[in-house]
Amino acid sequence: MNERHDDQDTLRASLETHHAEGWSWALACCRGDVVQAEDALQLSYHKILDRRARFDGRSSFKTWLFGVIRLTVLDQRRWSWRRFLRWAPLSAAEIRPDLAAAAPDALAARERCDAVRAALDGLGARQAEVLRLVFYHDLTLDEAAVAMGVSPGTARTHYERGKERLRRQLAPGPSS
Amino acid sequence: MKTPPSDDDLRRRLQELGQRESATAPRFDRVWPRRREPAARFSRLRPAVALAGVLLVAAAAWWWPTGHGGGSTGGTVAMSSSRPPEQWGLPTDGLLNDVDDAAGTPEVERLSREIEGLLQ
Repeated sequence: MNERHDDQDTLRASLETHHAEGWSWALACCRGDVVQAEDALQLSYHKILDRRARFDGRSSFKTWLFGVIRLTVLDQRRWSWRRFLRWAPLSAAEIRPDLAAAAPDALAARERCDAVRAALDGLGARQAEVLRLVFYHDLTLDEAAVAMGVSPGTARTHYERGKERLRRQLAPGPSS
Repeated sequence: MKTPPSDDDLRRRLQELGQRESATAPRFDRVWPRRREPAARFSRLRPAVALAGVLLVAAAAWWWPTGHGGGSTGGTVAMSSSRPPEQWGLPTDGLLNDVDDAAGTPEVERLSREIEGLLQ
């Protein structure tokens, strides 16, 4: 991909294009913690703006951005003094965004989403990540491997195992 | 038992979840870091300035009681007052009043002359 992201306006426009997906990915990396996800996204933008993270065109911009977000979340976990010092546990509203409020459509859709999220939570972190990247963000397995910082073979293994487990968990029971 | 979901089913359901999560994204302007101002650049020096301040206070606290010569002043205490001695209010048991009463009487003058004569 030959996108140029040298000047700040172009960079900002590209990030704005991928903002919603970046948010979704940050949320997945933070296991649904809204506060941490917002911090991670802002820190990622800071890194990009300060040129501590540079897009070199070896992958798509989205893949590279997802990699930056993932590394930022890992950094946050390492230096998470704020979380350590936080006395009160997060409220449920902070941990999980109110999806119904964001898109107040059918209750059935919300329940479907809750079921998928619960099933993803039941998988290993890497398995859930690769499934999100491939199924929702439309990355190839190779791109997902870059974003996750693992080899393509490892990504494929997580993908296959995760898919099987998700399939089992979402399979309707005998009574239904 | 019904058939487990296919790859397409999984894709569709994950896309539904992803889209709903994406819809909760905070506004881009809220997350986008503001352009750094000159004052913010100076703020990088703040820790060094704070450390220098602490060291300065610590050095002053260490230096102050001993002064340049070092050691203590031996317990001598210098005091000063802006009021005249008559107003100090020291406990005199009324002796000062006795002196005032006696001052200028013939008896005192006679005794003074006697003492001066003896001294000569």
